[in-house]
Amino acid sequence: MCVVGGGITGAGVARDLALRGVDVVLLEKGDLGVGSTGRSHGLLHSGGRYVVSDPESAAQCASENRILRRIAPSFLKDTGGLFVGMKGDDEEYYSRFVKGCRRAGVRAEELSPEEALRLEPGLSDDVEVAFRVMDAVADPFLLTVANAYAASLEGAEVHTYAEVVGIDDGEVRFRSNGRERLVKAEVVVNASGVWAARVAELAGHAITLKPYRGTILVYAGRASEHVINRLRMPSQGDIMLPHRNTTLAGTTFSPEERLERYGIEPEEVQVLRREAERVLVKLRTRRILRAYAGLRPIVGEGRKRDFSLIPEDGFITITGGKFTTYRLMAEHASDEVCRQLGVRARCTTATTSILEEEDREGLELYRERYGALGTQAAEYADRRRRICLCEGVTEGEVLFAAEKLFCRNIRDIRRRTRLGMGYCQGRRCNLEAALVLYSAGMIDHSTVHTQVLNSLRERWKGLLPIAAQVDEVLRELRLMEATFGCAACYDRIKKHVRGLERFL
Amino acid sequence: MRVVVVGAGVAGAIAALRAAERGMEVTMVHHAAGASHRSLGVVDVLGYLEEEVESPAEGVEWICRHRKEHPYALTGADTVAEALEFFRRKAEEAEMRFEGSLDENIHVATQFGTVKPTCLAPERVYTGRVELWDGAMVGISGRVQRDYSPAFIAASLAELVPRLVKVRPAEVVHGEGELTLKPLSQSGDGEAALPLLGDGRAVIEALVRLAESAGVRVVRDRITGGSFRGNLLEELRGVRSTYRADAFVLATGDWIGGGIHGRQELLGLDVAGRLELRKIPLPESGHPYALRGVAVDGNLRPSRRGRRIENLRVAGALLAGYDYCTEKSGWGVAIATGYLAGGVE
Repeated sequence: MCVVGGGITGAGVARDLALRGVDVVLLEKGDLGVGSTGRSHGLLHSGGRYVVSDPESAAQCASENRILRRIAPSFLKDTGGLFVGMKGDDEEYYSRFVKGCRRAGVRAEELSPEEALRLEPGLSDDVEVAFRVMDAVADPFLLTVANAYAASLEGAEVHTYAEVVGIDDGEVRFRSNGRERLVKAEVVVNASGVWAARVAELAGHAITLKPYRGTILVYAGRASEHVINRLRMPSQGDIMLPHRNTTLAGTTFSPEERLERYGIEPEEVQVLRREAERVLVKLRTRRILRAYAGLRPIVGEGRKRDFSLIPEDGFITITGGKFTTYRLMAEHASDEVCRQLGVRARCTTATTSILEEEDREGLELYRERYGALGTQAAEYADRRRRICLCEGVTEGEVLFAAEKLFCRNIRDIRRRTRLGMGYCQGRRCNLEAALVLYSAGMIDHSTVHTQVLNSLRERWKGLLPIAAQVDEVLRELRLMEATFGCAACYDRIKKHVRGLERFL
Repeated sequence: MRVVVVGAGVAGAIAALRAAERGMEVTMVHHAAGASHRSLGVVDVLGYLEEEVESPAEGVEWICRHRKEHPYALTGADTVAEALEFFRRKAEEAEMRFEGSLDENIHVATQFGTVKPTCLAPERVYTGRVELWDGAMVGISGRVQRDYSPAFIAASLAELVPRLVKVRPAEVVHGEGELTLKPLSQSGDGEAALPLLGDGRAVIEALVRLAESAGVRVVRDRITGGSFRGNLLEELRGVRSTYRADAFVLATGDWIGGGIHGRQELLGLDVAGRLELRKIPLPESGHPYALRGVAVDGNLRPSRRGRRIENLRVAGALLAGYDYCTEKSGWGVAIATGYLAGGVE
């Protein structure tokens, strides 16, 4: 069978089926997790957010949260979470929240405002009510890669930069490296997220999907150790969470027409700043590194956040849902695949760990960064030269990602290792990382230029929406220009280097 | 007469040196390294207008005629030439030789594996200018260090050089050794060096030391505000101290040095230009925000709420109306405006 889409859901389906002994080929048109997955918070919801508005989703979140803690502890940070009600918030919502939690099986323990402030000194004095919940945080890219990696260990084939161009009678055609290729599949799972309608169309099916854009701001430094949720009807700017050495603040909710090249409005940035800095006052003194936006694939009307399984004969679409419930979505899709293929094997992902962890001395740093994949990363430990100074990524980590984790370019490597995600947004490490690949014989010199420019372009995209509002960001942009424009003359050589013409 | 110069980049250093030479009592207040410290340490005067500029002298003349808001149009072409000679002389006093001429740009190879036009370069860099590579074997060797791979530079230049500067393809060799580039066409001539990011620092520090030995008082402080009376700046307030003088020079750089900010400018001076960015990084035409800066008159005097400040001059990247990144004019403008600003009466 063939899975179309290498987000968390597609990678989850690939792993689920590979574990059941089914032959799986996964096709992803870009990099793993590059769509809605990587543009999410990476929050493993306790369920609390949905207990009033969408109890079914809340119950799913609560139970999946417990399962993922069991099967993927190395890929999660058990931060715990707080729901906080602020002065002026709707007090009636508080009691509905408590009732909802009880009904959906979401554990929530009430704290006094003083206790909440003691746990999180960065919170505002305006906090009136607080509940502690079981939130956790995952690196969405890494969890996706881990699923794909685990699937490949069970025999699944994983192809990135493989865009599906046709689906008919047991054949999936895809374009890879400029050539068209073919894979035979009795069943196709469409796990392409917001692109689900387009992929379905290739197979002659019609699906209605409404994408909603959600924008997230990245602040430097951890402003809290818990996930902080607003205790109110789901709205904009409700969630702040510590992710590695940053704080993510999101999100917005606005309908989006385009699936690619959508922008971020200055008003969204203002709303997020206002909401986040009101609750987590510590953020007021923190620098904003960048902004990013993703699309939620929402099926049907309203803001219900549960997922949809659309089982056609030989073509199964799984979409909607949330990062937290990806495993359950994969289970449902895989059950349907097995039903159609006549395979009797049962789902084991609720009890099988994603990669076995090794507890060996010297692995701590790698485990912290790469979870159970840390064992593989540690094999490169002798290449200690720092490539990314902001995030402390070594040459060994760059090579590890390039050789083991389905990477094609330095942007893919960034998603695995956090290379270039810090203060300078890659100004100092883009070239350096490309040169590691060059020296290892993986790319030629003109590809170095293309990759550096592509990477600059991506970083630029995240800096643009906030540049006019944050002085430090303008400074970084100007430094990028001074380095790659003034010193390197990249603005002028574009037409002279093979492959750079398209930047004109 | 007392002069306070704020900023110790190229513009600040030149302004202080000129004022000191003219017998002023100069204090230089500086805070942090800016763009010129991080630069390649070569003197770009003008590398590109619409197309590449062959003669910076002619390019500057063109700007003086057609781009009234450009700092070169304010200083005039003669001042640019005079200022460059002043820089060359001062550099020599600080035991650094800069070669090159305003009549013709040279090309230097960069650690990015690219080639860039510039006007003056330190002797070692000048010796390795790309113009000498015609039909030559070019050897790039060196220890691999941060942002630097001789093999990559050599491979990239082998493709780029003939297409950019119309020299015949160079055969490229590379090996172990020091960080040098060898233009082998020059029979037995000395070795040449690539300019590296950060080389600017040594040049600037040497100029600042020279200024100090010429009697300039150099103070580390961050300017946070100032007091005006009528059309005069009376004093600048720093974190550590307050600075009073008869004349002031502001050479605090652009965003990189922290001289200008997106939303508020130092001292509330009037600013020209929009805070707007294009979507594509590094377009040849530049981003509108890059032209933003302090607006000045022909004597580099800024205004505040429409009123000209008589005893304050602005020099370097803080000025509006030009974009050194796309033009490749960074040190040239800094030197010309620093020289003019330092020539206070």
